[in-house]
Amino acid sequence: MSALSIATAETFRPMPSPTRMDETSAIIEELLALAKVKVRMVALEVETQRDGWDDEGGVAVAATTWAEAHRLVSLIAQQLGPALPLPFVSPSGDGSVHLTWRNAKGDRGVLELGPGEAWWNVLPPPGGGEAQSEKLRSTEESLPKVFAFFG
Amino acid sequence: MDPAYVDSLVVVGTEELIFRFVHPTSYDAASPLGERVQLSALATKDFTPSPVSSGASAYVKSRLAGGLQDLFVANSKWRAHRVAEVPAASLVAIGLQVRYSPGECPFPSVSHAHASLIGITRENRPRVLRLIEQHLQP
Repeated sequence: MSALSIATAETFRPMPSPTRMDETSAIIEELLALAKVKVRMVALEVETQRDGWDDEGGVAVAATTWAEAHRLVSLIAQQLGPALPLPFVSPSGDGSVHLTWRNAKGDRGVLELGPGEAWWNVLPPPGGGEAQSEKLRSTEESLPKVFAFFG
Repeated sequence: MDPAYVDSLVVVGTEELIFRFVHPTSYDAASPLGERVQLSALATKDFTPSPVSSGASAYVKSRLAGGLQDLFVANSKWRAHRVAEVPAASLVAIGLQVRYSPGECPFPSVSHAHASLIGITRENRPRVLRLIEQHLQP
């Protein structure tokens, strides 16, 4: 095939179908959203490296806790897919990292990671009943909790 | 911590207003009203009195001649925090004790106004946070 015919073929290559473009856009949006969460996590990791980071005598968040939070956020996002939201990430003065999701019912699911333990909490919206908390035996137990939370 | 220590702390009157800071990382402005202050705003170390803290830190407004400004002078980083002005009576109504704890305050100029919110648990934490959010200053 001549260079001219290759150039012509490239020039007149059919555009991707609208469906394909929608899929591509969805993937790009998903990746951008995940990147935004990850950037926030990195910034928070830097902010929480020292004791007293919260101006209230808070305990520094261990690098291992942040690493586990990163791993779970990526894994859960990968398994839940683009249709479901990413968590809001916030550190706490006890050295833990909280990952908070919201489902279609308006409940909040909060995973508290570390240090040394993990808790899963489900908080109904205001007036929607009592919050439930459960201590997890390992962070791996959080995965089925999060998946069940989204039904 | 010796339980007698907590009992020895002077109880804050229910007519008082209490300042409580919320670190910006624990506030999600994108959440619906009533759910913006995150669970992370009250650490589990605040649940049980320890040798250095009898509970979550707060400040009694009437003890501060310059009000909130006195707290900002004591620690300028608090300017970046959200602040709630909560009636002590409301905290007591949901089962907390509010007691003066000047010895636990790292800022000498405002230690006389320092108080502790005692009795926060995993169970009542969402109610305490909702109350704090209801009284956040704009």
